[in-house]
Amino acid sequence: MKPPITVERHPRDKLLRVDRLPHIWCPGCGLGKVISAYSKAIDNSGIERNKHVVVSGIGCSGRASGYLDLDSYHTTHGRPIAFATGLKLANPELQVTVISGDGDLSTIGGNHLIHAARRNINLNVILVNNFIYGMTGGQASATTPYGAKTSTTTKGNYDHPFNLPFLMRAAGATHIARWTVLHHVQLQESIEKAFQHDGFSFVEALSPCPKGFGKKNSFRNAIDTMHYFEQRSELEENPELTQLEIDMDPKSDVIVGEFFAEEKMPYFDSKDRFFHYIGGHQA
Amino acid sequence: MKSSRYQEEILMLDFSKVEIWTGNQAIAEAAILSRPEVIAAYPITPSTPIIEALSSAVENGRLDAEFIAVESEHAAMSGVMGGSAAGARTFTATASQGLLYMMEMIYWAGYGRLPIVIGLVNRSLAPGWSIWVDHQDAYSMRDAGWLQIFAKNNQEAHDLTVQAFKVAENHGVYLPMAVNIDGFVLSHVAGQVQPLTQKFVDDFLPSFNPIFKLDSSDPVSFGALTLPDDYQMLRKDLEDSFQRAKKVITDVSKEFAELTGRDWGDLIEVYGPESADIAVVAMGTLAEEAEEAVDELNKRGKNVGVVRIRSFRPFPTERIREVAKNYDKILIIDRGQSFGSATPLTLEFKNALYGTDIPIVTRVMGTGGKDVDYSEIMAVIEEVYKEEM
Ligand code: SF4
Repeated sequence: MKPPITVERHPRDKLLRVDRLPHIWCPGCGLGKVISAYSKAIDNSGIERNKHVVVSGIGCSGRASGYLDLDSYHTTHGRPIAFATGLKLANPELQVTVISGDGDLSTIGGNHLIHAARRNINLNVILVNNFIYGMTGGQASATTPYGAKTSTTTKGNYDHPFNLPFLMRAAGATHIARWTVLHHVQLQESIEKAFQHDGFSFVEALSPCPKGFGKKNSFRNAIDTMHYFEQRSELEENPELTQLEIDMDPKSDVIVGEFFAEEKMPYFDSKDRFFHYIGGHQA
Repeated sequence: MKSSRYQEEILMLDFSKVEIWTGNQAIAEAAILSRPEVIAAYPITPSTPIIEALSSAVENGRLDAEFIAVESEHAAMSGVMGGSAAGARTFTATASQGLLYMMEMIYWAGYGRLPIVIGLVNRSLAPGWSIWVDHQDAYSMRDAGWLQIFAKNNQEAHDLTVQAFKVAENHGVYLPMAVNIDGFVLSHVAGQVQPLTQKFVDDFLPSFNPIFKLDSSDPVSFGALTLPDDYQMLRKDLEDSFQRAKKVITDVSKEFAELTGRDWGDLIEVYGPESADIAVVAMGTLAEEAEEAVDELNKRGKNVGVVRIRSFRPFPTERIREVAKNYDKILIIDRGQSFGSATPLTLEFKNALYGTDIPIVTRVMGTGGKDVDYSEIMAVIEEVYKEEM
């Protein structure tokens, strides 16, 4: 029998603060896959590493900024997009990526998500959607599916969740994609596309949270959500955006894909043109 | 104190029954017994288990209330304010950054006279990120028009939560109230709690009788523009209510002690010898730890006591002047700071004792969750013994 192949360093290690490892994420958590796709996308982007900045908020996904060996800022709950907006204004040369969760970006920080999309400011938002607040132990968030059990909806959630791609389209985002963490290559390619895209990019990464969400619902074991993603993901290029609500019902499909991209004047151009038009001197 | 037969048969308090509850459970169970009608809540470590317990109590029918899992702490406080303005008894819980994010609404609830009760699980403020206890979050709401009371253990937290509704809703007070417990040290550590019963709480705590409320049969407008003369009058009225609250808190504590035999003190709790060389002043679990320290030192021939601040707002200025006479020196152990000045408790003491010559020494200890055990408090007391004043 051949001995197993071992390598000294994982290929992603060079973008990680390995001194902070092992990470605190649970076995079976999808967050590692998101970090991995993001770091591979950085490798492929051709953009110097020191031009990449990562900003995160609060929650398990907020740890992303601590584990990535990039300039990073772990901001307060819900505020990474507002913080990233200021960062981008101060230094438009930077490739600013926000990695945070559904609770952080679409619930407590939902206002900033829609306003950054409205401005079409050139930020990359990777929203890791695990359908609950993971870090505090699995309470309902704005993406918790209708009927799903959480620790604040023990009999099932009677609130309707956000359909995030639809919300983002309505708010003005000009690049919208969704993958599960199982779609590693596609996720990575959408992130690369976000780096290239001139305007607000929104990439939703559906991710298992076996501890906070899975075991209370139909996904008892960590692997069950991944099996579900494997069996029920449907690729659609041009879906009806109103139909993209996710119910995490084992009998329902999960629509994934590069949903939308358009060229629309991004924030800085819009500002320059406006001041040019009114004859002002705003640079 | 009434006879134990009275306590058992009339109040249906079963003193043989002891639960092992965390501080969060102790607060949640008392909140449930207090029958709040609207709860709007948002999770944050270390107070999340309180709101989880309330949401399940509502879902399993034990508590007849509206529970809404809102999108932020700002929305949580806004939600309970709406409920309170409509005449409902309201409750929520938070901690640390959550309290800061709620702060605009915290001030509104205080200045707007909405007698909400909140379980505040004290936790330090970021950055650097820390989930552990100190009192900086509580100090941040010092001037927001809230009554602020601190428990030293899970039993007191349980008892205080019920008392808080009674004090807050008293027509002479009519202010929101925060029941503070130390994060993790109490919130997540289980200890013995003798539970109150529904019968007891129903008798002890009358149902909420709002002085004013949004009522379509008698329309009123809240939050209108206020001209300077009226504004100043409203603030004076707020201050008068805080002064009246001193007596109400004391009376409610006394009534509770007579019924249950559990006497936690009035605005302060004095522990140890009648008069002593040094009084250690602290809040929350540090004060209970200080009790251990002084017991140990007194056994070794020292003469030390503890003055625990239970009510930080209103601050027990008069009580402090009364008891301070009994001590040669005061040692304040503060779990928070006021940067650029003396610590919050020190400022209060210097104000209360203005014109006296009792020396006050302060040590900031236990911030960011730094563990403080009785031996460290003993060491500090020994130091203060040696210091020339
Ligand atoms: S709680 Fe959920 S999101 Fe957080 S680390 Fe665990 S699996 Fe991941």
